[in-house]
Amino acid sequence: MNVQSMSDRALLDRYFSGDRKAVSQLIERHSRRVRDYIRMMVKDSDVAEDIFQDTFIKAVRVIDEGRYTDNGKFLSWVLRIAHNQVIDYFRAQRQNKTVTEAEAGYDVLGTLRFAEKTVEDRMVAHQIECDVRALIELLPAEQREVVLMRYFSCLSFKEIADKTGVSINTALGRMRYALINLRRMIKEKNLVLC
Amino acid sequence: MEDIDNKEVSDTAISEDDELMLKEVIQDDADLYYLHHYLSEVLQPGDNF
Repeated sequence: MNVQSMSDRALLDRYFSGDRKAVSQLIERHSRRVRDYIRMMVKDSDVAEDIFQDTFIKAVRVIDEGRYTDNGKFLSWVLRIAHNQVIDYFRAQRQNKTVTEAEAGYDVLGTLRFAEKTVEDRMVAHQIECDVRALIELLPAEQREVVLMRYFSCLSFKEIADKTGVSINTALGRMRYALINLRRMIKEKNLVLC
Repeated sequence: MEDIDNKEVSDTAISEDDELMLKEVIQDDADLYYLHHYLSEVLQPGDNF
């Protein structure tokens, strides 16, 4: 089978079976998203690249030690590792100067360092998912509509624009306001996404 | 043939919609990027919402 078409789980199984290149494929597959996330948080390309490398070194080490138990959601798991690496970076920076939470870029969705998930953590995560779904219901109708069409129905922005009778730019704007409003509500509820 | 998660695409296959999401919606905001990723996982097609 072409490795490009294999799922993350299948690539991991292949790696566990002795194909050392399979993990490289996994890293390559998700590198852009992980890099983007780190870069947005630290806003420094060189630092971001260092953290990116450290993130995947740690990920591979955890996999090698048999401690990867995230039900195949590999990207989520790696993003949590990246998030923790960034938090560690800012903590180290604080020893030299004061860094505001806004500078750190994690004031709303991640002031807590993400931990490895236990059964209890998973129950909490499920409850948070329910809470976030409830918050989506509280969005203004036109924003809720675009969120559900995009994430739930997997429509493109052009399809959303056509179905709702607005321009693509308007659909994009509604999505941006929806995310900003959700962020505000998540902060008000003191939820920490995990 | 194994089931393949639609989101688990090659890194080289970033769609035009993903680009729009990054440029016009997320606009280099790490919080929004993480929230976007979170919603992508929580709101799975076929879920009862």
